[in-house]
Amino acid sequence: MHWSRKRNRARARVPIRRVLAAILFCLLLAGCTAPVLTPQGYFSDRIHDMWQLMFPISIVVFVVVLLTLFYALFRQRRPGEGENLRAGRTMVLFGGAILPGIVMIILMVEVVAILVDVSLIGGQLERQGENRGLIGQPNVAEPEAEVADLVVDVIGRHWWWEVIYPNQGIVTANEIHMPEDALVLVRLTSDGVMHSFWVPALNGKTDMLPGSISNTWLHGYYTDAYRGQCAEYCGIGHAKMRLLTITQTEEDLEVYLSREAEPAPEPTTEETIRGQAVFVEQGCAACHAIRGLSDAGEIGPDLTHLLSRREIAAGTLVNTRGNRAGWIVDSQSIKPGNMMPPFPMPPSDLQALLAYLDTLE
Amino acid sequence: MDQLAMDQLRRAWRSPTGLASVTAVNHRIVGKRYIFTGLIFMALAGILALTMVTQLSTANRQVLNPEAYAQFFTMHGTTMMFLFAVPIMEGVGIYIVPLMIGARDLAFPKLSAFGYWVYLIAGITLYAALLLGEAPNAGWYNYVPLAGPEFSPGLNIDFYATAITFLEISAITAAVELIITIFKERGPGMSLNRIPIFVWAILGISFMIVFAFPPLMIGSTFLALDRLVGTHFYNVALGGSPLLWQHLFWWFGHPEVYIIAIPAFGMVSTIIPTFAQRRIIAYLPVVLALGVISLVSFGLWVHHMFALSISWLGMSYFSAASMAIGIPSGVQVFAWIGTLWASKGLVWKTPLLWVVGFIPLFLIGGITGIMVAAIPFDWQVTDSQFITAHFHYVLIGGSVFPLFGALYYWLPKVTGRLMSETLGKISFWFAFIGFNIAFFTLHFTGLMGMPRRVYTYGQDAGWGTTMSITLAGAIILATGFALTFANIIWSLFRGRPAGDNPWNAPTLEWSTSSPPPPYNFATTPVVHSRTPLWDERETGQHEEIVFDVDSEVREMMGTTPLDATPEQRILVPKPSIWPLILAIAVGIAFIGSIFNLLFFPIGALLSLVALVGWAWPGSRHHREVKHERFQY
Repeated sequence: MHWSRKRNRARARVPIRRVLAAILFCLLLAGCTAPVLTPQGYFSDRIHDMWQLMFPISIVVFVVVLLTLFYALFRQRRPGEGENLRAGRTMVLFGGAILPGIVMIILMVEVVAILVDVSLIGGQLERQGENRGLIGQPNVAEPEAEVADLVVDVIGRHWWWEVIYPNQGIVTANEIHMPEDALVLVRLTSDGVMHSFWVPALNGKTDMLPGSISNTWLHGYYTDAYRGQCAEYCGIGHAKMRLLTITQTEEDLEVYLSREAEPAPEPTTEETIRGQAVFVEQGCAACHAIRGLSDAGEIGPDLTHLLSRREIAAGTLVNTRGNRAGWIVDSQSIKPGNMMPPFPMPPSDLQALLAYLDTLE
Repeated sequence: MDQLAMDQLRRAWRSPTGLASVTAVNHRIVGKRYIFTGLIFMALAGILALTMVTQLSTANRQVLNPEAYAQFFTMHGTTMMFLFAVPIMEGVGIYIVPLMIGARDLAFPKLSAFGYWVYLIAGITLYAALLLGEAPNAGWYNYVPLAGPEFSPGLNIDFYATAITFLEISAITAAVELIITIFKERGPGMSLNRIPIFVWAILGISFMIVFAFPPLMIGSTFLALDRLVGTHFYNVALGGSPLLWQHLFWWFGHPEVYIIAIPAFGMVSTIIPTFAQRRIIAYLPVVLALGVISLVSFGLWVHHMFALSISWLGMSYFSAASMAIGIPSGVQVFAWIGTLWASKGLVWKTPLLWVVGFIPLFLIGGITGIMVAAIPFDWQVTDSQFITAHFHYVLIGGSVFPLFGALYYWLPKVTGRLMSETLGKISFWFAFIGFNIAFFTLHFTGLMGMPRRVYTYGQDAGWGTTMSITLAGAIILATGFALTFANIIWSLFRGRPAGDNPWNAPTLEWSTSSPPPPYNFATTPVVHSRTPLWDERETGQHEEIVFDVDSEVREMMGTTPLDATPEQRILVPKPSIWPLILAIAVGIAFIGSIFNLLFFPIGALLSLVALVGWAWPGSRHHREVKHERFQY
C-alpha cells in the first residue's frame, strides 16, 4: 500500500514538471523576444544597461531576503533557547536600512549617468549653439553623429500618427523611415488628446501633449522594421494606434524620400480617371489630402503615396488591395470608433476607386 | 460593576435594529458596513477584471467591444482604489481602532455614519452608470484632455468628476474622525510609545488622507466645472493646462498607494507578533518607518510622469525619493522577519499564512518598484503591462493579502465565530499560486511591448501565450478569493464560537467578548504596556479604573494626546437619522448637477436643513472629571 501510493505520487509528478517546464520555456521565449530586453539602437541599449545593472541585484536581494525569511520560519527551535535581540536589531539596521541605501546610491548613480548621456546626445542637441547644460561638452563618442541626421515631426491624431519630414516637405502617416545607425530627432505633439510615442526596440516612451512639443530620439543599429504603439490611453482607437519604424541604408532612404516628395501622378487610364472622380464625389478628399489633387483634407492620413506604406489604419491591416477595399466599405468593424464613416458603393465604383488608389505609389 | 449598571450601559449603547438600523451610528456597525460594502465592490471589480483578461487572453478575441472595455478598466481601477481599498482599510480602522485603544466609540459617530452613506451613494451611482452603459471610460486617472468636454462629450466622465469629488468627502470624514479618536480617546496609560502599530498605521494614513484628498477634490471639481459650467481649467486652447490635472491627480494618487499599503503593513505588524507569540522586535523603527513613508510619499508624484519631457534634474529628485522608500520598507520587512526568527514557536494559523505569503509578493513588488523608479527604465515600462504587474504585486500582494490575513484574524472578533482553517489555507494557496502565475507572467508581456489599456492586439504582436497563462492564473486567483468569501459566509452559520481571545493576542480588542458588547468595554481598560493582555497574564496584574462615567448615557473617557491621562468625559451622540439625510442631500447636490445645475443649490439648501437637524441641541451635559478618582 505504502509503496504503491508513493509510486503513484511519483508518476503524478511528471506532468506537473512538464507544465512547469513549458511555462518556464514560454517565459524564456518571452524574454528573448521582448524588445525591451533586446535593444536595437543606442537609446534602448543605454536603457537596457540600467536593466542589466538592476536585474542581477534584484535576484540577489530577492534570494537573500527569501532565504532569511525561510530560515526565520523553519529554523530548528531549541527548547529554552535564549534570544539575541541585539542581533535582530542589527539585522533590521543593516538589512533594512544600510544595504538598501547602498544599492539605491549605486542605482541612482547609473540613473544620472544615463540621463546625462541621453540628454547630452539627445535633449541638449537641438539647442545647438546654446549652453550645453550643466555637464559641459556633449558626449560625442557614440554614436558619432553630433547633429541629427534627420528630423521627423510626428503629430498624434485620432487614432493615427501624422509623420512629417519638415526639411523634405513630405507628409505621410504611421511609418517613419530613417537611416540606420544615425540619429533621428523626433518632435512630438498632438492635435487633441494625450498620446505616448513608444518604439520599444529603439527608445522608451515620450508623451505627446497638445499645445507643446516634446522631443525624443531614435537610433537603430541595423536595417529592420520596428513596431511602435501608442502607450497612453487616448480613447476608443487606442489599441489600434500603431506605427512602424523602418531603418534603411542611406541610399534606400534617399530613394524613398525623393519618391515621397513628388506629387501624386495624374491618372491615365479610363478606370483610374473614373476612380479619381469617385474619390472626389464620395467626399474622400474632404478628409484625405492627395498632393496634386487636393490639399484640403486634414482629418485622415495623406494618401499621396498610399501604396508605399506597408500597413493601413495605423498598423491595423496589411496594405493589400483587398484590405483597402474592406476598409473603405466598412472601416468601423475593423477599427471601431475611427473617424472614417462606412462608404458603401456600387462594386464598379469601388473597383475604379481601388484602381485609382493603386496608382498612388 | 453591578448588574444594574451593566443593564443601564447596555440600554444606553444599544443600536436600533430592523428598519431603524439606518439611524445607527456606532463604530462597530458603521465599520462592519464599510467592510461588507468594500468586499462587495472588490467582488464586482474582480468580475470586471476576469472579463477583461478573458478578452485579452488571445489575439483578436471579441468578448468586449472597445467602449465596454474602456468602461470596464476604468471601473475596475476606480472601484479598487476608491470603492474598495481606501474604504475597507478605513472600515477596518473604524471597527478595530476604538477596540484596540480601549474606547467605546469613535469621537464623532454621526460623522462616520454620514461618511458611510456618502460612500454607498457614490458607489451605487458609479455602478448604476455602468449598468446604463455610461460609466467613466477614460481610465481611473482620467487624464485630460481626453476626459475634457471636447473629447468625452457623454455623461461618462460627468459621473467620474462628480461622484469622485463626492466620494472623497467620505474618506476625509473618516480620516478626521480617526485622528481625533486616536489622539483623544486612548485608554488611560496608553501613552504614545504604547500605541499598537496598527493604530499608528491608521493614524498615518488618516493624516495622509487629510492632505492628499483635497487636491484630488480640487482637481475633479475643476474638471466638473470644465464639463458642466464651461470653465477652461484644462483647456489648452484657452490657456488651461492638462498638466495641472496630472499634478493634482498624482499629488493625491501617489500617497493613495501608501494610504492603502500602510494599514496593510500595520496588519502585518499586528498578526506576526500574535502568531510568533512575542513582541515585534524594533517597535520604534517600525513606527518611524511608517511615519517616514507617510511623509516621503508626498514627494514622489512626478514618478508617474517621467515620460513627459521634464527637466532631468527635477526628475532625478523624484527618482531618488522613490527609491528611498525602499529603506523604511526594508526596515519593516526585516523587523517582521526578525520577529518570526525570534519566535519560540510559530502558530501556523491562516492569518499568519496570508501574512507570510505577503512578504515575497511585497518584495517582488518593491523590487520592481525600485526598477520603475529608475527613470530610463521607466521610459520603457511605464504604461506597459510591466507596470500593471508591478502595481498588482504592491496592491494585491502587498495590501490585499494582509487584508485577507486581517479578515481571518479579526472577523472572529466581529462575528464571534471562527472561520474554517482548512478552507482558509486552501483559499490562500489558490490565491498565492494563481496570483503569481497571473502577474509574474504579466511582467514579461510588458517587456514584450504590450501597453496598458489596449482592448485587443493582433496575431503578429505575440502576446497570446503569456496572456493566456495570465488568464489561467487569474481564474485560480479568483477561486482563491472566492473561497474566502465562502468561508466568511460559512463561518456565520457553522463557525465554532471564537471565545474572547482565540489567538492569544496581546492587544485590547481581545480582552472583551466576541462579538463585543454594545459598549465595547464594561470598564475602561488601563494600559501598562504595549502588549497589555500578555503582560497582564504574566504579572497577574489586573487593574481597572474606578469608573466615573455615566452608564445611563453614551459617555466615555477622553485622555490627553501624549500620555493618555484622563482629562474629560466625552458624550457620544445617540442614533440619528440626520447623517443619512445629509448624505442624500449632498448626493443630490453633486450627482444631480450632472443632469441639471439647479440641483446644486437645491442640494445645498437641503444640506443646510439637514445640518440644522443634525446639530439640534440635545441634553448634553459636561462635567469636570475628578482626576484623583482614577487609580492607575
